[in-house]
Amino acid sequence: MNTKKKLGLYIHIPYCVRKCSYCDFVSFGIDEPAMHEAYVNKLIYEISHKRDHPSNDYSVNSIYIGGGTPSAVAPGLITEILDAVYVNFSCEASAEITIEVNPGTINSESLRIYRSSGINRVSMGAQSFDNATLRTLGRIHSAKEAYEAYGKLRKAGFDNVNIDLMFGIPGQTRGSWEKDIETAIRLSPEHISYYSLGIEEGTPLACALERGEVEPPDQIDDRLMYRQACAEFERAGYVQYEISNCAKPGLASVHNLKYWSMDDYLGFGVAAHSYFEGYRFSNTSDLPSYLGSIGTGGMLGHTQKNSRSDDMQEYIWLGLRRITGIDTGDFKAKFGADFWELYGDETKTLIGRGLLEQENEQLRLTKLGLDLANVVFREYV
Amino acid sequence: MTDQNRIRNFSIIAHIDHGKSTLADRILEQTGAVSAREMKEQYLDNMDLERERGITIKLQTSRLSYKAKDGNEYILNLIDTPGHVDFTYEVSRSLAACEGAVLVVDATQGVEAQTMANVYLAMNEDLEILPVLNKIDLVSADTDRVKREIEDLIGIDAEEAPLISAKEGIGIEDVLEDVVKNVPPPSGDPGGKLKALIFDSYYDNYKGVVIYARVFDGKVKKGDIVRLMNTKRDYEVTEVGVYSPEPVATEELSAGEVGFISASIKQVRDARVGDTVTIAGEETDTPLVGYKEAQPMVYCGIYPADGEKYENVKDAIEKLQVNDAAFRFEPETSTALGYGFRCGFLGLLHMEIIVERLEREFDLGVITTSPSVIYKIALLDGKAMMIQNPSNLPDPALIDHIEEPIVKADIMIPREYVGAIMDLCQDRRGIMQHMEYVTESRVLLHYELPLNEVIYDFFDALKSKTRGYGSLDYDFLRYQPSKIVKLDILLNKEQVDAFSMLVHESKAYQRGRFVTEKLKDIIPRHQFEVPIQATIGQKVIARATVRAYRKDVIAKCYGGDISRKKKLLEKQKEGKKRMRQFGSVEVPQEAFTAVLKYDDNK
Repeated sequence: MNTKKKLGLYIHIPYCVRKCSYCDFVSFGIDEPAMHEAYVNKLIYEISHKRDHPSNDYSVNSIYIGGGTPSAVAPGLITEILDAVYVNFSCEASAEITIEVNPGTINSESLRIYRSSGINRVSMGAQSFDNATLRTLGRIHSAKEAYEAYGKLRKAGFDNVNIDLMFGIPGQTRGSWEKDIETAIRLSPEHISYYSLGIEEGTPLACALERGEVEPPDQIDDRLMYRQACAEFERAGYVQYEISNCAKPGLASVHNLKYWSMDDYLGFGVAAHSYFEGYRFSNTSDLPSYLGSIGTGGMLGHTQKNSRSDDMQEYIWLGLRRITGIDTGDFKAKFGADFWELYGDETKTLIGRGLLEQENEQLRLTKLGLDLANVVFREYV
Repeated sequence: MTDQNRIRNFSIIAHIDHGKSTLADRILEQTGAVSAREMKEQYLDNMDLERERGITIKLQTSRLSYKAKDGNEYILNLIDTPGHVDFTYEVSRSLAACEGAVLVVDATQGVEAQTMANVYLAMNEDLEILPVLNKIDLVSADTDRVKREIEDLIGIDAEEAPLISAKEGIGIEDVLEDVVKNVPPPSGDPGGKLKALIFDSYYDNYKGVVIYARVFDGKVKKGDIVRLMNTKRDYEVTEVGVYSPEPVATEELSAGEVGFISASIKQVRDARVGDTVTIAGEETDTPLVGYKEAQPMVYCGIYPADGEKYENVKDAIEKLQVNDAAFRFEPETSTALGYGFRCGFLGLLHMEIIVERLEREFDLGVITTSPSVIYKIALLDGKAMMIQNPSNLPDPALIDHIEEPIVKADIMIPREYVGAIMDLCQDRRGIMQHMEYVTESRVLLHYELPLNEVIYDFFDALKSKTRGYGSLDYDFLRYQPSKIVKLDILLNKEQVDAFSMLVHESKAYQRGRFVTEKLKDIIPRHQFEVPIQATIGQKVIARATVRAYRKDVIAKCYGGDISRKKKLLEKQKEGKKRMRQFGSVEVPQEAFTAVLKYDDNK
């Protein structure tokens, strides 16, 4: 039995074939193998530098390669990265190792390489199975390519697959969303993420909205879509475990849950974020600075030691993202303070407003609370 | 001691945007007071707010030395004046410290309403007026026409007026020569008893109240025990000096000079503007008349925003008052907003500036309520009362009638806008007295307007409808009986007293619709529907509804980037802090000013 503390690793690949219209993550539509290689070398340097780091006392039980589009770089580079991880960290044999892929950038050969490098979970950004919606989102793939890609994943032997879907997209109808839900259920992946689209300032989609080229999504439609998805996926045997995530029983993402449970994770790559032994820190989000940095210190953007009250607040509002919510008994065990003494007033008000519900020691968002989660979270920051 | 014959005390007066501040800057440069390198644009407007708005709010004085063509060295005291209709009173104070005024007229625009208003003020103080035509570098400059206007409208000879471009630095020396030749030197008695005029003051954290003074007779130096004749209190002078333009201590200030006096005056109300400074025990026999007290025309409530301490707001308001003799305040309470102040201003701009200064210079969060004029309430029992707070309106059953202040307004506009402005004035219950053609292309409209129609947004509307060419000057005329009603605003069925206003019966519906629609746009969605109602007594005259929100959730939290989401939540929470809670409804602070703004699309 492994008694070491658990650790998750996040590895960021900031390259895409093309940036999507809604995307404001740190990603670049750069298709130059030389650039990719230089970046991966830097990543490996960063990973290798953790040799004498306290994280060596941890055992890694999840690795998540996200982006950008990790499948947009040569699969051999992914192998190199993971090899560096295996050399420098103690990884559990059963660790969940996920890669994000775009349906337009995989083939049976790349999938074979992923599998042989230890990847056992694939997250596919389908987003929608409606071509008009895919165009609004500026995706590089068609619905047909998404079906084909899914088939390839299964054929390659991946038995833990996530499909990403989005709703509340300008121009998307409730009918087309219903079809997306049906399609996802028919494909029967182990895990489904379904995100309400957030329109971020400065993205092409936000500009199109401002110019009146597309209609803003209606809030009520968005919520009807959300509730329909929750209900349909539940009926199909999925268990919702977070605001935007559900999975077949026992297949909730180990990595995803870490974020909501104040578990330790280290991020590698440009703009990657970490939470480790009470510190939140992140690498620079400027790609040239990351590439040009000398020593790992030069990569660091912002570091902050969480105070006890930071930790308590995050424990609450991050924990409430889980459908099971937070356990006030566990809160006391962890912080030695009584939850109700500290947060009784605001919590009771939120319960009174129908946003939170309490069952024994457990406190969680209501259905309404899931729609208005920020209203709840704001009370704890 | 400086020979009075070598002193010239003068102001620059102009209509807004005619280039007063730019000319002042050039004069500072030309006389070497400020090098071009040190020169921030428009040196004398030293508040950010002033530079942003292109107007002068606080007075600045500057002592310059100038070697004239006659070979003599002269001391020029330039006393800056504010440039907006609200600040007529401050203009009058600085003019009284001068012997002459340079009248700047834009050669492309000609004489404007405020040009005239300023000229009348200068004439009241018996000043020598020296016209100057500015912006002659512009193609559209028409110096002959503008000279004719000055002669016809103001009745002063403009033939010899210097033709300048302050922006390009052309003709600045001509202005200085004109000042030396034509502004009379001061003629006080340096050996007489001290007689000095307080024409402005400001609060300095280290020195206490610093007085801007013009010495008429006698002299004052460090160590003197001075008496302020109005308050009859004595102080030991700790420093005297001049502004060049940075403050520089001097031995003394003597007859004819302009400078500052600090005397550890702590109580702001002890150094009244307009008061006479003299030597204790050797008081002057002829104290100055002083100035007429500035009469605030517009009132509003200022309250600490949520989380802001009452004491902090009180301190800041007191400090602003020492710099601003026209600003009045007294404590009041509101059921909606708690403890605050009822403040009096010269006009709406003056009010906006005070509020912005509280927010920017003192970093305070404040809420302002709808501005109001002073109404005269005649009661059935024969008594009368003056009110400016709508909440103080007595039971209508006790009121015989209400009177409102009427102003005489002079509006100068290009002739093509006459129709639009007559419509505007008609809409604001104005009555036209007469109309004159100033020139073939420009018209002066004389109106009588209720002041409560002017204070909301008249000036903005005038500017908007005349593409910025219209100008306005107004003066109190009389009280007049009027059908005034109290318009209340209810949020989620609860009355918010801070939104109540007194309006003319004929305007109540329009105002009610406007306010409810504005609030509908500005009040964020709540978890429930928020009805907004405008009422007179029990009667609802307008309503609007803020729909409930349905979604407020961060769906995705990418790659463990918690701090970004936290920042967003914190920002939202900060936004909520700037909200004011009324019952179960949260109202952003901007709501209180937004309901006052002119809206073209209304």
